[in-house]
Amino acid sequence: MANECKYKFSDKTPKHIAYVKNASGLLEQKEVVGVTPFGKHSGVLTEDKLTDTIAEYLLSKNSTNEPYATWIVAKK
Amino acid sequence: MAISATVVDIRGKAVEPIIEELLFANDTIEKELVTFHEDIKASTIVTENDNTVTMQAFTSGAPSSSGTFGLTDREITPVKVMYYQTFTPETLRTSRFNRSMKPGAWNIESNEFGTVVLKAYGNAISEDVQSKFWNNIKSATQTAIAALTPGAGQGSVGAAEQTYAASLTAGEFDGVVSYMIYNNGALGTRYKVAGTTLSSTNIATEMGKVYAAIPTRAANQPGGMKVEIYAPYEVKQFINIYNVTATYRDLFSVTNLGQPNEAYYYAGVKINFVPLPSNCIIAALPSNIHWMTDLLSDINMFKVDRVASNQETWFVKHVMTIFAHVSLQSMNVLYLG
Repeated sequence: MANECKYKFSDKTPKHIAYVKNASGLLEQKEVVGVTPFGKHSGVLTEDKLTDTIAEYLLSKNSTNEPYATWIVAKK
Repeated sequence: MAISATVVDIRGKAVEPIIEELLFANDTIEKELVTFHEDIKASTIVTENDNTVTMQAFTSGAPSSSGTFGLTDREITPVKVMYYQTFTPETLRTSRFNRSMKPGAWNIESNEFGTVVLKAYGNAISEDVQSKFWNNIKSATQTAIAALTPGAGQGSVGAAEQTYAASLTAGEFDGVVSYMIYNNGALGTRYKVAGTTLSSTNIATEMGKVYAAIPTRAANQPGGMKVEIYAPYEVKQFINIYNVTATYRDLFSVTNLGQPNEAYYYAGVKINFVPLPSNCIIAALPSNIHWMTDLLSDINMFKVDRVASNQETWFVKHVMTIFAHVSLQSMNVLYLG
Protein backbone atom coordinates (compact mmCIF):
# COMPACT_ATOMS: atom_id res chain seq x y z
CA MET A 1 0.00 0.00 0.00
CA ALA A 2 1.51 3.31 -1.04
CA ASN A 3 2.17 5.67 1.81
CA GLU A 4 0.50 8.97 0.88
CA CYS A 5 1.16 10.57 4.22
CA LYS A 6 2.24 14.23 4.26
CA TYR A 7 4.62 13.43 7.10
CA LYS A 8 7.73 11.35 7.58
CA PHE A 9 10.16 10.51 10.36
CA SER A 10 13.18 12.75 10.77
CA ASP A 11 16.73 11.48 11.12
CA LYS A 12 16.39 12.12 14.86
CA THR A 13 13.67 9.50 15.21
CA PRO A 14 14.91 6.77 17.55
CA LYS A 15 15.60 3.17 16.64
CA HIS A 16 13.99 0.27 18.46
CA ILE A 17 14.23 -3.48 18.43
CA ALA A 18 10.91 -4.72 17.08
CA TYR A 19 9.45 -8.06 16.13
CA VAL A 20 8.78 -8.34 12.40
CA LYS A 21 7.57 -11.33 10.41
CA ASN A 22 10.20 -13.01 8.27
CA ALA A 23 9.67 -14.93 5.02
CA SER A 24 8.63 -18.01 7.01
CA GLY A 25 5.92 -16.10 8.85
CA LEU A 26 7.80 -16.30 12.14
CA LEU A 27 8.64 -13.27 14.22
CA GLU A 28 12.26 -12.18 14.38
CA GLN A 29 13.89 -9.25 16.08
CA LYS A 30 14.99 -6.40 13.88
CA GLU A 31 16.13 -2.85 14.48
CA VAL A 32 13.63 -0.36 13.04
CA VAL A 33 13.15 3.41 13.08
CA GLY A 34 9.92 4.47 14.74
CA VAL A 35 8.06 5.57 17.83
CA THR A 36 6.39 3.69 20.66
CA PRO A 37 3.40 5.78 21.77
CA PHE A 38 1.87 2.88 23.73
CA GLY A 39 5.04 1.47 25.18
CA LYS A 40 7.64 -0.84 23.65
CA HIS A 41 5.51 -3.86 24.56
CA SER A 42 2.83 -2.55 22.17
CA GLY A 43 5.03 -2.46 19.12
CA VAL A 44 6.87 0.18 17.11
CA LEU A 45 5.04 2.52 14.77
CA THR A 46 7.18 2.62 11.64
CA GLU A 47 7.05 5.15 8.83
CA ASP A 48 5.16 2.85 6.49
CA LYS A 49 2.24 2.88 8.96
CA LEU A 50 2.23 6.67 9.36
CA THR A 51 -0.90 8.47 8.14
CA ASP A 52 -1.88 12.12 8.35
CA THR A 53 -4.29 11.31 11.18
CA ILE A 54 -1.71 9.38 13.16
CA ALA A 55 1.04 11.94 12.58
CA GLU A 56 -1.14 14.89 13.58
CA TYR A 57 -2.41 13.00 16.60
CA LEU A 58 1.14 12.29 17.76
CA LEU A 59 2.19 15.88 17.09
CA SER A 60 -0.66 16.99 19.37
CA LYS A 61 0.98 14.94 22.14
CA ASN A 62 4.37 16.58 21.70
CA SER A 63 6.14 17.00 25.04
CA THR A 64 9.59 16.99 26.58
CA ASN A 65 9.41 13.25 27.19
CA GLU A 66 7.77 12.53 23.83
CA PRO A 67 9.23 15.06 21.35
CA TYR A 68 7.10 14.02 18.40
CA ALA A 69 7.64 17.43 16.82
CA THR A 70 11.31 16.49 16.54
CA TRP A 71 10.65 13.01 15.25
CA ILE A 72 7.81 13.71 12.80
CA VAL A 73 8.28 16.31 10.10
CA ALA A 74 6.35 17.35 7.02
CA LYS A 75 7.53 16.03 3.69
CA LYS A 76 8.83 18.68 1.32
CA MET B 1 16.65 -22.58 17.48
CA ALA B 2 19.56 -23.91 19.51
CA ILE B 3 20.41 -22.86 23.03
CA SER B 4 21.51 -19.22 22.98
CA ALA B 5 24.21 -19.52 25.58
CA THR B 6 27.17 -17.66 26.88
CA VAL B 7 28.40 -20.49 29.05
CA VAL B 8 31.64 -20.88 30.93
CA ASP B 9 33.22 -24.31 31.21
CA ILE B 10 32.72 -25.22 34.84
CA ARG B 11 35.89 -25.84 36.85
CA GLY B 12 34.71 -25.15 40.37
CA LYS B 13 31.47 -24.12 42.00
CA ALA B 14 28.39 -22.47 40.56
CA VAL B 15 26.28 -19.92 42.41
CA GLU B 16 22.87 -21.23 43.37
CA PRO B 17 20.24 -20.67 42.26
CA ILE B 18 20.29 -19.75 38.58
CA ILE B 19 19.24 -16.12 38.30
CA GLU B 20 16.05 -16.14 36.30
CA GLU B 21 14.69 -13.25 34.28
CA LEU B 22 11.91 -11.23 35.87
CA LEU B 23 8.53 -12.16 34.45
CA PHE B 24 5.02 -10.92 35.10
CA ALA B 25 2.77 -13.45 36.78
CA ASN B 26 -0.26 -14.41 34.73
CA ASP B 27 -2.68 -12.65 37.07
CA THR B 28 -5.40 -12.68 34.44
CA ILE B 29 -5.68 -16.44 34.95
CA GLU B 30 -4.41 -16.87 38.51
CA LYS B 31 -6.65 -14.16 39.96
CA GLU B 32 -9.53 -14.85 37.54
CA LEU B 33 -9.71 -11.26 36.39
CA VAL B 34 -11.97 -12.09 33.45
CA THR B 35 -14.49 -14.82 32.60
CA PHE B 36 -13.07 -18.12 31.39
CA HIS B 37 -14.73 -20.59 29.04
CA GLU B 38 -13.25 -24.03 28.46
CA ASP B 39 -14.16 -26.83 26.07
CA ILE B 40 -14.46 -24.34 23.22
CA LYS B 41 -13.15 -26.31 20.23
CA ALA B 42 -14.71 -24.62 17.22
CA SER B 43 -17.85 -22.88 15.96
CA THR B 44 -19.20 -22.18 19.41
CA ILE B 45 -22.17 -19.82 19.51
CA VAL B 46 -22.16 -16.92 21.96
CA THR B 47 -25.55 -15.23 22.15
CA GLU B 48 -26.34 -11.79 23.51
CA ASN B 49 -29.91 -10.92 24.41
CA ASP B 50 -31.03 -7.30 24.36
CA ASN B 51 -34.77 -6.70 24.64
CA THR B 52 -36.82 -3.53 24.29
CA VAL B 53 -40.25 -3.05 25.85
CA THR B 54 -42.90 -0.44 25.10
CA MET B 55 -45.59 0.65 27.52
CA GLN B 56 -48.82 1.50 25.74
CA ALA B 57 -52.31 2.56 26.71
CA PHE B 58 -54.68 -0.23 27.55
CA THR B 59 -57.19 -1.17 24.90
CA SER B 60 -60.00 -3.67 25.06
CA GLY B 61 -59.59 -4.30 21.36
CA ALA B 62 -56.78 -6.08 19.58
CA PRO B 63 -53.48 -4.65 20.87
CA SER B 64 -50.58 -3.71 18.66
CA SER B 65 -47.29 -5.51 19.15
CA SER B 66 -44.44 -3.23 20.16
CA GLY B 67 -40.93 -4.02 21.39
CA THR B 68 -38.24 -6.42 20.32
CA PHE B 69 -36.49 -9.58 21.42
CA GLY B 70 -32.93 -8.83 20.38
CA LEU B 71 -30.74 -11.85 19.85
CA THR B 72 -27.23 -11.52 18.43
CA ASP B 73 -25.19 -14.64 17.77
CA ARG B 74 -21.45 -14.65 17.41
CA GLU B 75 -19.71 -17.81 16.19
CA ILE B 76 -16.35 -18.26 17.86
CA THR B 77 -13.53 -20.59 16.95
CA PRO B 78 -10.45 -20.17 19.18
CA VAL B 79 -7.19 -19.82 17.31
CA LYS B 80 -4.74 -22.69 17.71
CA VAL B 81 -1.25 -21.44 18.48
CA MET B 82 2.01 -23.06 19.40
CA TYR B 83 5.45 -22.33 20.79
CA TYR B 84 8.22 -24.56 19.49
CA GLN B 85 11.96 -24.59 19.58
CA THR B 86 14.77 -27.08 19.50
CA PHE B 87 17.89 -27.26 21.61
CA THR B 88 21.01 -29.37 21.85
CA PRO B 89 22.00 -30.53 25.36
CA GLU B 90 25.55 -31.22 24.08
CA THR B 91 26.01 -27.42 24.22
CA LEU B 92 25.75 -27.65 28.01
CA ARG B 93 28.13 -30.57 28.56
CA THR B 94 30.97 -28.37 29.79
CA SER B 95 28.81 -25.93 31.73
CA ARG B 96 27.36 -25.91 35.23
CA PHE B 97 24.55 -28.13 33.99
CA ASN B 98 26.88 -31.13 33.70
CA ARG B 99 26.69 -31.43 37.49
CA SER B 100 23.15 -32.82 37.13
CA MET B 101 23.93 -35.12 34.18
CA LYS B 102 24.28 -38.81 34.93
CA PRO B 103 27.61 -40.47 34.07
CA GLY B 104 27.99 -41.87 30.58
CA ALA B 105 28.33 -40.37 27.14
CA TRP B 106 24.71 -41.23 26.38
CA ASN B 107 23.45 -39.27 29.41
CA ILE B 108 23.39 -35.66 28.34
CA GLU B 109 20.12 -34.51 29.89
CA SER B 110 20.50 -32.07 32.77
CA ASN B 111 18.00 -32.23 35.60
CA GLU B 112 18.89 -28.66 36.57
CA PHE B 113 18.25 -27.45 33.02
CA GLY B 114 14.86 -29.12 33.04
CA THR B 115 13.74 -27.94 36.46
CA VAL B 116 15.00 -24.39 36.17
CA VAL B 117 15.49 -23.26 32.59
CA LEU B 118 12.61 -25.14 31.01
CA LYS B 119 10.35 -24.17 33.90
CA ALA B 120 11.27 -20.54 33.29
CA TYR B 121 10.58 -21.08 29.58
CA GLY B 122 7.10 -22.22 30.54
CA ASN B 123 6.61 -19.12 32.66
CA ALA B 124 7.71 -16.99 29.71
CA ILE B 125 5.04 -18.62 27.58
CA SER B 126 2.41 -17.87 30.21
CA GLU B 127 3.50 -14.24 30.35
CA ASP B 128 3.44 -13.94 26.56
CA VAL B 129 -0.03 -15.49 26.26
CA GLN B 130 -1.44 -13.15 28.90
CA SER B 131 0.17 -10.16 27.18
CA LYS B 132 -1.32 -11.10 23.82
CA PHE B 133 -4.77 -11.77 25.32
CA TRP B 134 -4.94 -8.06 26.14
CA ASN B 135 -2.56 -6.54 23.59
CA ASN B 136 -2.56 -8.17 20.16
CA ILE B 137 -4.06 -7.73 16.70
CA LYS B 138 -4.62 -9.72 13.53
CA SER B 139 -3.30 -8.35 10.27
CA ALA B 140 -6.82 -8.14 8.82
CA THR B 141 -8.07 -6.14 11.80
CA GLN B 142 -5.08 -3.83 11.56
CA THR B 143 -5.85 -3.16 7.91
CA ALA B 144 -9.55 -2.64 8.60
CA ILE B 145 -8.93 -0.12 11.38
CA ALA B 146 -6.48 1.79 9.20
CA ALA B 147 -9.14 2.08 6.49
CA LEU B 148 -11.76 3.67 8.76
CA THR B 149 -12.40 7.40 8.72
CA PRO B 150 -11.41 8.74 12.12
CA GLY B 151 -13.51 11.09 14.17
CA ALA B 152 -14.16 12.32 17.68
CA GLY B 153 -17.68 10.94 17.94
CA GLN B 154 -18.61 7.60 19.49
CA GLY B 155 -19.52 6.24 16.08
CA SER B 156 -16.03 6.77 14.71
CA VAL B 157 -12.66 5.24 15.34
CA GLY B 158 -10.40 7.53 17.34
CA ALA B 159 -7.00 8.77 16.21
CA ALA B 160 -5.46 7.13 19.26
CA GLU B 161 -7.15 3.85 18.36
CA GLN B 162 -5.80 3.98 14.81
CA THR B 163 -2.33 4.82 16.14
CA TYR B 164 -2.48 1.90 18.57
CA ALA B 165 -3.58 -0.58 15.92
CA ALA B 166 -0.87 0.60 13.52
CA SER B 167 1.87 0.26 16.15
CA LEU B 168 1.26 -3.39 16.94
CA THR B 169 3.05 -6.26 15.25
CA ALA B 170 0.28 -8.38 13.76
CA GLY B 171 -0.28 -11.69 15.50
CA GLU B 172 -2.54 -14.72 15.47
CA PHE B 173 -5.67 -13.27 17.11
CA ASP B 174 -7.20 -9.99 18.28
CA GLY B 175 -6.49 -9.05 21.86
CA VAL B 176 -9.11 -7.42 24.08
CA VAL B 177 -8.21 -3.83 23.16
CA SER B 178 -8.19 -4.50 19.41
CA TYR B 179 -11.44 -6.43 19.71
CA MET B 180 -13.09 -3.54 21.53
CA ILE B 181 -12.04 -1.21 18.70
CA TYR B 182 -13.10 -3.44 15.81
CA ASN B 183 -14.88 -6.79 15.68
CA ASN B 184 -17.34 -8.78 13.62
CA GLY B 185 -16.48 -6.72 10.54
CA ALA B 186 -17.35 -3.37 12.07
CA LEU B 187 -16.28 -0.68 14.51
CA GLY B 188 -16.80 -1.86 18.08
CA THR B 189 -19.52 -0.21 20.16
CA ARG B 190 -17.24 0.43 23.16
CA TYR B 191 -17.64 3.72 24.98
CA LYS B 192 -14.62 5.62 23.73
CA VAL B 193 -12.75 8.08 25.95
CA ALA B 194 -10.03 10.23 24.39
CA GLY B 195 -6.99 10.04 26.59
CA THR B 196 -3.48 11.32 26.94
CA THR B 197 -0.10 10.14 28.15
CA LEU B 198 -0.57 8.96 31.73
CA SER B 199 1.70 10.06 34.55
CA SER B 200 1.59 10.38 38.32
CA THR B 201 0.51 14.03 37.99
CA ASN B 202 -2.56 13.39 35.85
CA ILE B 203 -3.57 9.87 36.89
CA ALA B 204 -6.37 11.11 39.16
CA THR B 205 -7.88 13.34 36.48
CA GLU B 206 -7.62 10.72 33.75
CA MET B 207 -8.98 7.90 35.91
CA GLY B 208 -11.87 10.24 36.70
CA LYS B 209 -12.68 10.43 32.98
CA VAL B 210 -12.86 6.63 32.83
CA TYR B 211 -15.02 6.47 35.95
CA ALA B 212 -17.40 9.14 34.69
CA ALA B 213 -17.80 7.31 31.40
CA ILE B 214 -18.96 4.02 32.93
CA PRO B 215 -22.54 3.48 31.74
CA THR B 216 -24.92 3.79 34.70
CA ARG B 217 -26.45 0.39 33.97
CA ALA B 218 -23.03 -1.25 34.29
CA ALA B 219 -22.15 0.75 37.39
CA ASN B 220 -25.38 -0.18 39.16
CA GLN B 221 -25.78 -3.88 38.66
CA PRO B 222 -27.46 -5.82 41.45
CA GLY B 223 -25.84 -8.52 43.52
CA GLY B 224 -22.13 -9.16 43.36
CA MET B 225 -21.58 -7.90 39.83
CA LYS B 226 -19.33 -4.86 39.92
CA VAL B 227 -17.49 -2.99 37.22
CA GLU B 228 -13.71 -3.25 37.52
CA ILE B 229 -10.98 -1.13 36.03
CA TYR B 230 -8.12 -2.69 34.08
CA ALA B 231 -4.95 -0.61 33.86
CA PRO B 232 -1.38 -1.15 32.63
CA TYR B 233 1.24 -2.09 35.22
CA GLU B 234 2.88 1.35 35.40
CA VAL B 235 -0.36 2.90 36.65
CA LYS B 236 0.24 1.22 40.02
CA GLN B 237 3.41 3.28 40.45
CA PHE B 238 1.63 6.43 39.26
CA ILE B 239 -1.04 5.88 41.91
CA ASN B 240 1.48 5.26 44.67
CA ILE B 241 3.41 8.41 43.76
CA TYR B 242 0.17 10.40 43.58
CA ASN B 243 -0.86 9.16 47.04
CA VAL B 244 2.41 10.28 48.60
CA THR B 245 1.39 13.93 48.17
CA ALA B 246 -2.39 13.50 48.29
CA THR B 247 -3.99 15.22 51.27
CA TYR B 248 -6.68 12.56 51.51
CA ARG B 249 -6.13 9.08 50.15
CA ASP B 250 -9.78 8.31 49.62
CA LEU B 251 -9.74 8.83 45.86
CA PHE B 252 -7.23 6.07 45.25
CA SER B 253 -7.50 3.75 48.23
CA VAL B 254 -4.92 1.03 48.64
CA THR B 255 -5.21 -1.87 51.10
CA ASN B 256 -2.28 -4.00 52.26
CA LEU B 257 0.21 -1.88 50.30
CA GLY B 258 3.33 -3.84 49.47
CA GLN B 259 1.83 -7.14 50.56
CA PRO B 260 0.96 -10.06 48.24
CA ASN B 261 -2.74 -9.29 48.77
CA GLU B 262 -2.51 -5.55 48.12
CA ALA B 263 -5.57 -4.11 46.38
CA TYR B 264 -6.19 -0.82 44.59
CA TYR B 265 -9.46 1.05 44.19
CA TYR B 266 -10.63 4.26 42.52
CA ALA B 267 -13.77 5.65 44.15
CA GLY B 268 -14.58 2.13 45.30
CA VAL B 269 -13.98 0.51 41.90
CA LYS B 270 -11.34 -2.20 41.98
CA ILE B 271 -8.30 -1.68 39.74
CA ASN B 272 -6.59 -4.70 38.17
CA PHE B 273 -3.13 -4.34 36.68
CA VAL B 274 -2.69 -6.32 33.47
CA PRO B 275 -0.41 -6.08 30.39
CA LEU B 276 -2.46 -3.41 28.64
CA PRO B 277 -0.71 -0.92 26.34
CA SER B 278 0.56 2.20 28.01
CA ASN B 279 -1.99 5.03 28.25
CA CYS B 280 -4.88 2.59 28.03
CA ILE B 281 -7.55 1.90 30.65
CA ILE B 282 -10.60 -0.34 30.40
CA ALA B 283 -13.65 -0.30 32.66
CA ALA B 284 -15.94 -3.29 32.35
CA LEU B 285 -17.78 -5.98 34.22
CA PRO B 286 -15.43 -9.01 34.36
CA SER B 287 -18.35 -11.01 32.97
CA ASN B 288 -18.04 -8.99 29.73
CA ILE B 289 -14.43 -9.98 29.01
CA HIS B 290 -13.98 -13.59 27.96
CA TRP B 291 -10.95 -15.84 27.68
CA MET B 292 -12.11 -18.72 25.51
CA THR B 293 -10.04 -21.86 25.10
CA ASP B 294 -10.21 -25.62 24.71
CA LEU B 295 -8.55 -26.35 28.04
CA LEU B 296 -7.22 -23.64 30.36
CA SER B 297 -4.54 -25.89 31.82
CA ASP B 298 -3.01 -26.28 28.33
CA ILE B 299 -1.16 -23.07 29.17
CA ASN B 300 0.86 -24.99 31.78
CA MET B 301 1.76 -28.00 29.64
CA PHE B 302 4.54 -28.46 27.14
CA LYS B 303 6.27 -31.51 25.75
CA VAL B 304 10.01 -32.11 25.74
CA ASP B 305 11.46 -34.92 23.64
CA ARG B 306 14.06 -35.83 21.03
CA VAL B 307 13.34 -34.53 17.51
CA ALA B 308 14.16 -38.01 16.24
CA SER B 309 15.37 -41.13 17.99
CA ASN B 310 18.68 -41.11 16.08
CA GLN B 311 19.55 -37.54 17.07
CA GLU B 312 20.61 -35.61 20.15
CA THR B 313 18.56 -32.57 19.24
CA TRP B 314 15.59 -32.05 21.53
CA PHE B 315 12.44 -29.99 21.14
CA VAL B 316 10.14 -28.18 23.52
CA LYS B 317 6.60 -27.69 22.19
CA HIS B 318 3.55 -25.96 23.60
CA VAL B 319 0.09 -25.97 21.99
CA MET B 320 -3.08 -24.20 23.03
CA THR B 321 -6.14 -22.43 21.68
CA ILE B 322 -7.28 -18.96 22.62
CA PHE B 323 -9.86 -16.32 21.74
CA ALA B 324 -10.47 -12.95 23.39
CA HIS B 325 -14.15 -11.99 23.25
CA VAL B 326 -15.89 -8.92 24.61
CA SER B 327 -19.64 -8.93 25.16
CA LEU B 328 -22.17 -6.15 25.86
CA GLN B 329 -19.73 -3.82 24.18
CA SER B 330 -21.65 -0.61 24.80
CA MET B 331 -21.35 -1.25 28.55
CA ASN B 332 -17.55 -1.18 28.45
CA VAL B 333 -15.24 1.86 28.48
CA LEU B 334 -12.04 2.05 26.44
CA TYR B 335 -9.69 4.90 27.33
CA LEU B 336 -6.75 5.27 24.96
CA GLY B 337 -4.38 8.21 24.84
